[in-house]
Formats: sequence, C-alpha cells, structure tokens
Amino acid sequence: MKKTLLGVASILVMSTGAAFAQSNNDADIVQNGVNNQAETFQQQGRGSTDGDIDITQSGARNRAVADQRGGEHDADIEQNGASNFAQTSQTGLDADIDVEQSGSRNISESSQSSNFVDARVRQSGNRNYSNLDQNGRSNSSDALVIQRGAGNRSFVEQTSIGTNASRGASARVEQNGTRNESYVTQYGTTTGSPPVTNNEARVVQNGNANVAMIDQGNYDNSASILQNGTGNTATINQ
Amino acid sequence: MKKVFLGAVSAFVLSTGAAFAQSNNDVDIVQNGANNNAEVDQTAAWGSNNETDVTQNGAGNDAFVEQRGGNGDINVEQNGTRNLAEVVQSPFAGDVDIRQSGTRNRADVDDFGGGSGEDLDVRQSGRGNDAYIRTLGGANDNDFLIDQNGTRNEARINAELGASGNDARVTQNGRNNYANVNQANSNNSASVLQNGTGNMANVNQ
Repeated sequence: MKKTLLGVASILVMSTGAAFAQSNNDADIVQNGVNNQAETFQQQGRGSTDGDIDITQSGARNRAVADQRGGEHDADIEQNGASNFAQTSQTGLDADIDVEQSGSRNISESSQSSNFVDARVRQSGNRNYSNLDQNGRSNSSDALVIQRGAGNRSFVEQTSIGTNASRGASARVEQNGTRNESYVTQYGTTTGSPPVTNNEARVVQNGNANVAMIDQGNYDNSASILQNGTGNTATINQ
Repeated sequence: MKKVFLGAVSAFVLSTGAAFAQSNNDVDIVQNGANNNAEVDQTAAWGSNNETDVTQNGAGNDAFVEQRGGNGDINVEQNGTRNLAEVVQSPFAGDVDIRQSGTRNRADVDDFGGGSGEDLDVRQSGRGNDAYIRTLGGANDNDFLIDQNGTRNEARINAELGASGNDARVTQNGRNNYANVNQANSNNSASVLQNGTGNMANVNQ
C-alpha cells in the first residue's frame, strides 16, 4: 500500500460544516511532481464571500479542482506540464476564474453560474481543451480564452435562464496555430423583454485549417471572426 | 453541444429557433489567406436591421450569406482569384453590396419574395468575372447594378416574376464582355453601357 503511493501526493482542503457565512478564506496549494491532486472547496454557509484559491502544479498528470459557492471568490490555477486537468466551478456573484496551463493535452473545465463573473483560460502547447460555461442569468459575464499551439479546442457557452437574462455577455477567443477549433454559443431561454441582448463574441485565429463558429440568439448581438491563414472556416448564426 | 463537436473538423449549427424576431445583430468576418470559407445565417426569425460584413483576401475563398427580415445590409468584399460570393435574401431584406477584384470571381445574388426599395449592387474588376442578380417573386421598385471593368466578364440581371418598377443598370468597360437583362411586367428600366471591343448586350423586356 505504501509503495503504490510513492510519488503521489493528494491534498484535500475543505471548509467543513459551518452553518454561518464564511468569508476571507485563503487556500494556497503548491505541488511539484507527477500524479498530484489538489481539491479545494469553499462552499459552506450562505453568503460566504471573498474566498481565494490558488493552486500551482508543476509536472505531468496533475489534477486540480476548485469549487466555490458564494460571492466575490477567486480561483487561480496554474499547471505546467502535460496531461494536466483543472476543474473550476463557482456559483456566486462577481467571481473570477484564472486558469493557465502550459504543455500538451491539458484540459480545463470551468463553470460559473451567476452574474458579473470573469473567466480567463490560457493554454499553450498542443491539443489542449478548454470548456467554459457561464450559465445562469449571465449578466455582464466575460470570457477570455487564449490558446497557442496546434489542435487546440475551445468551447464557450454563455446561456441565460430567467427574466431579463443574459445582457452584455462577452466572449473573446484567440487561437494561434493550426487545426484549432473555437465554438462560441450565446443564447437563452428567458421570459424577459427584451431577452438576450448586447452579447458580443470575438474570435481571432492565426494559422491554417482553423474552424470558428459563433451562434447567437435574439437582439443587438455582435459577432466577429478574424482569420489569417489558409483553409479556415468561419460560421456565424444569428 | 460540446459532445456533438468533439473531433469535428467543420460543423454547422442550426439557428436557435427563437419564436421572436432577432434584430440589430452585427456580423463581421475577415479572412486573410486562401481557401477560406465564411458562412453567415441570419434567418432564425424575421428580424430587422441586421448587418453582415464579410471581407476575404486571397484565393479560392467562399462567402455565403443568408438573411431574412427588413432593412438588413449585406456587404461582401473579396480580393483575389476564384472567389465566390453567394447572397440569398428573403422577404423585406435590405441592400446588398458585393465587391470583387481579381480573376474568375463569381457573385450571385438571389432575392426572394417581394422586397422593395432595395439596392442590389455587384462591382467587379479583373478578368473572367461573373455576376448574376436574380429576383424571384414580386420585387418592385428596386435598383440593380452590375459594374464590371476588365475582359471576358459576364453580367446577368433577371427580374421577371411579378417584378415591376425596377431599374437595372449594367456598366462594362473592357473587351469581350457580355450583358444580359431580362425584365417582365411594367415600369421597368434597363440600361447597358459598354465601352470597349467585342462586347455584347442583350435586353429582354
């Protein structure tokens, strides 16, 4: 049993069982090596605010999880190496996600389900994957994905459910390299009037054989795609 | 959504199927390079004031734009060779402006179902270019313009089905150009101006 765990470190940080609001908590994890895992949860108590999670992992096949509930939380994950996995989820207002991965075959999964949230994902290397969901009412949500290398894929989905939903969501994707794919979806099922307005999606791709798609619903939306290179495909549906 | 596209090289998403009109949407696509493809679909519901701009610089580029609704504008600019611009408008759509420079470019404009007060313009410079403006059904009081500079260019304007009061103009400067205008019904005007040698004009009203 002991031998199988050589080289494997796992850190689990939980703020447990408080029935009251928790604020100003910081979690800071640094792991160097391979097959490391960091799991962080800042989620107990209604109205918890101002939590910070910082995870830095250097090496390959590391896994980082940040889960925050409440407002004004920050989650920063930095991973250097190959085949790393980062998962971040936030359910409160004014939350920020920052994921940076360098290496190949890294995966970032991020989700935010409230208003005034920001997410930034940067990946360098080949065959990286980023999925970013900003759901809920998505008012004034910002998404930024930057990928450098070949065969990277980015999915950004900003959807809204509820009254007067999804105003002013912004998604920007920049990909440099070949065979990259970017998909941006901004739409909503809402009862508000006017529903889903002022969304903006911008995609820039430099390189060959790239694919960009933007899908937007309803009013006052703006979509732009700039592609430099050969054999690129741009599709916009409104 | 995401699972559908995993591993996909090129894909097309159906419009969102909203039950209400989609208006005031802007599309801007710029592609620099060769063999690029741009596709814009603004037909999810009959919205208004939608605008699309597509610019492609290079060879072998395709632009396809489909728009439905009122007061929409479509602008396509292509510079290079063997580019194709195809625009389809459905009822009450707005103005179309296609500009192409280079050789063997082709521009097709199809206007369906009774727009009026529209300007449909194609301007081409170079050799072997082909422009075709066609209305299908009840297009009245519109202006059609094809302007071509160069050799072996071909311009065709066809406004026959229930089309009245339309003004079709073709201007060609160069050699061995061909212009054809077909108009049915009443109060239409056609004018063809050709400067050069070996040109041919054909107007049927």
